[in-house]
Amino acid sequence: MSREVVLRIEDLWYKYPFSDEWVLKGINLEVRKGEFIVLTGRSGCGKSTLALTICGYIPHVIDKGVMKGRVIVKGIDTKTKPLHHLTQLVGVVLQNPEDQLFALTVEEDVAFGPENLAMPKEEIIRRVERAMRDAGVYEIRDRPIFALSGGQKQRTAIAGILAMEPEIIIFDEPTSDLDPQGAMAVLSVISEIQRRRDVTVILIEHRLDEVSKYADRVILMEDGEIIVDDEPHKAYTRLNEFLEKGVRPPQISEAAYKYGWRDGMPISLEEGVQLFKPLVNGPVRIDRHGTGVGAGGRVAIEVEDLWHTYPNGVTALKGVSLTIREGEFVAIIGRNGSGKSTLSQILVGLLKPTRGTARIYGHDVRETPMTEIIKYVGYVFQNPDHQLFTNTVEDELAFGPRNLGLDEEEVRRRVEDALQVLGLEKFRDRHPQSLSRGQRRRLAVATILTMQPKILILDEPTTGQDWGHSVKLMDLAKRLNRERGITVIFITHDMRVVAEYAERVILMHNGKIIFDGEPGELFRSEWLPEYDILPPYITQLGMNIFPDRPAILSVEDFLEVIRPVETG
Amino acid sequence: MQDILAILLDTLKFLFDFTVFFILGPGVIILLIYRLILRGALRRFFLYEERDSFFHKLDPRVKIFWTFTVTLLASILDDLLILSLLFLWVVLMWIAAKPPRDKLITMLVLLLPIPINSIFYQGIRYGYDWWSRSFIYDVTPIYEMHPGLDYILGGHILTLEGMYYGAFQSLRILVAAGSGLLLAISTAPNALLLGLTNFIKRGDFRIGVPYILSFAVVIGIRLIPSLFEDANTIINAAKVRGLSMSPPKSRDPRELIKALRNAIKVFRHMTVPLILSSLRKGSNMAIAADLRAFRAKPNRTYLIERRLNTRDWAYLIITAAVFILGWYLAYIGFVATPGIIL
Repeated sequence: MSREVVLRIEDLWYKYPFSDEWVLKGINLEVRKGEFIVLTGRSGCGKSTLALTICGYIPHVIDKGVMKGRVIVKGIDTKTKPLHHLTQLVGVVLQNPEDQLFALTVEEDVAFGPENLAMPKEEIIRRVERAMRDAGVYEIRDRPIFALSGGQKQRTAIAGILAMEPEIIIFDEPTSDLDPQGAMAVLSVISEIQRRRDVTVILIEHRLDEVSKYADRVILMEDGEIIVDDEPHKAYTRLNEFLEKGVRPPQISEAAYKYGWRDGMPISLEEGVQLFKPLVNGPVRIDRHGTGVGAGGRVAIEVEDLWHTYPNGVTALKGVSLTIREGEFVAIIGRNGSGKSTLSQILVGLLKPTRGTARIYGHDVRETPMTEIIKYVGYVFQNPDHQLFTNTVEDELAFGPRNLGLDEEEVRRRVEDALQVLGLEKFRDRHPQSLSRGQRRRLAVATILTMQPKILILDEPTTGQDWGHSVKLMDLAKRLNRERGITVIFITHDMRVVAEYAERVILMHNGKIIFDGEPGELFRSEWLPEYDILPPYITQLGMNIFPDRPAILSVEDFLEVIRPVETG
Repeated sequence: MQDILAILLDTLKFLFDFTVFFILGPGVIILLIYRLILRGALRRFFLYEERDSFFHKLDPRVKIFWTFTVTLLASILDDLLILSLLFLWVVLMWIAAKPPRDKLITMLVLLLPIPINSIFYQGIRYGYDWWSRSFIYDVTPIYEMHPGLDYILGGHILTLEGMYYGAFQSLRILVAAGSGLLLAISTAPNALLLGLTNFIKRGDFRIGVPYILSFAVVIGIRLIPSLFEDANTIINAAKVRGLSMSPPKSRDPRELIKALRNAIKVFRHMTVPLILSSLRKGSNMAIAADLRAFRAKPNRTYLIERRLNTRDWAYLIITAAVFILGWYLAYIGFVATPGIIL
């Protein structure tokens, strides 16, 4: 029996104030009570705007835009009721937990909403306690917010929304800013809440591998329109549309689709095993691997017994030793606070070692001025907006070389080269902040390329980006590595990126290196769960079907292996 | 020849005085604060830390009342002994709050410019009539700078009376700033918010700052650490692109000027990214607050309602007694002349 419709959107159009472009173009949608919807699409496709119209923020707070059509929540047209009334029907959990916590302790923060609604104290206590239990933060209710991990903060934010007791909860990329441990905990809380409270969940996500198994429906948006809206097994039969729109479908579904399967796509590991296991008959191809660790170039980085203690007494590195050779493509992984960023900041000279040595092409970072180190090492920060300072793209690119004291002719040459390599020529006179996020990200890389470093460090290059942008950036890094011999080191939490791009992976934990080797070797390690590392789903599928074979790292690898060897 | 020598000496004196009093003095202060930013100390300063101290445990309302009392009395009373006693009270409370060493150093660096600035500028401007280039009081000159600095600093003769007056005035500001900073670092933002909003609350009766206002203040305080974090990242991003930001490695004035020039360059470049990032954060917080019914009802309720304990009452009574005594002293004539000249 079909359940009550809690959300109905009728021919919804929206454009922001001072903009000529429609961000939403005739959206029609019907959602029933208790449904779990996964909403996906590339950055800027209109997902978050749709969320803001459902919760009533548009048109009640952003009231100068043009809105056509209707959003009806529990029979109420959102235009007709004030926002505080709608907050009790629709709750929204945002991407960054830091931006949605207002109080000192977990309990006080969870109470913020009911307090604003002037509820009696007894009712506040009841709601807060229930919300904290459901979000898994009851045990830490007295902890100050600033002492929580990212995952705990996001669960506190979820509890804050649960305390409003809404019928629909929208989660807007709630795991984007979290490490794998935090992300896993948050996703499991979301599915638990949906089951226990029978609420309707709309989860905006890029990580379809992890979330598809929870979904009743997957909705793909592109350019303000809904392109696909179906039950996940059916939705991924149109897998090409996901790939074309810069969205990465679950690896298991992708493997099945590319294998030629079109009837009810597998979306989980179990379904993948069920589909593929019977297909494996006879011998399979045995190996195909990357270039291996340290392809034999000169030593680029040499670190010996490196320690670093911050002024507040926290020791972030405890005797790290490693050698990285010219031309390597290395991933550094580990939980937040494991020492990844400290190590990379020492390598570029931003921090000095407390003990031990780090040498860049033989130059000891302790004795070499930073102005010298940056001629060898380029560092691209996570957020492009923190590294763009000037008024035009051209000036931005010339900023670094000019600081190095190069003559104007050389500066021009490097600027032109970077513009061409990164495909930014047509933006040369634009203000950097007027570019799209993906373009700003590319520009941030370009600004470092003009310094002509031999080593490029990328700090979480794919965090908060859709798959399309991530692939473009990582492909660029790979191209620079292959064509220019630049050594690339990237810090990441994304195991798919590690599997598909890294030739070597370094796992850090509590300031020490726990593992240093090939990704395939890492993913086959039995101790992985201790460090909250989940191999990519295709790797897990491969290990399940071919337990004796080296780890499979990509869908393409899997397909190559699964097709039987012609023996005749 | 003598004329040329005189002009040369005069120019040298101008350059010396200009460099020492206009460039090096403020420069050292800017560099000290800048070093604090680089070390992340300013960010940590505003990050609330729970500590087991007498002052931390006081009810926020009592602390707010104490800060208000010492600040008010320091502004209205005009006696060196009284001001010194108020200053001593603030110092004792700082000791009682047992701040960590780095917070203490940060506090000193933040407060030090107040007496230096006040003593110096009062030292050259106190009683000085710029138009007639003469003093209207009897003063004791200590050091005479180049008269050309009159046009830049508003005076050029450092006097004993002026410096004394400057020291006296700076005590007032030190009491206010010192007590305010202590309140900020020893009180959790949310407790401060509750204290400001429900200064007196019995059932539905409430006296206090409107909730929206105190919420804005507290969010402002809460944003300071992340603002410094962003500033730190932006400075690091500038450094990796070759903008040398290190403090001068020698006492060579050229090094100092170069470091200052670079610092100014970085501050200029960090403005846009910092403003953008703050606006983005502020806008996200506004969305999050609105979606949790912020400002929904004129009289919101509270989960936690704090009550004063014996220690709070004792401190409140002492502060109230000082408050009344201060008013009485003001009444009998210890009143300050209006206006504080900086």
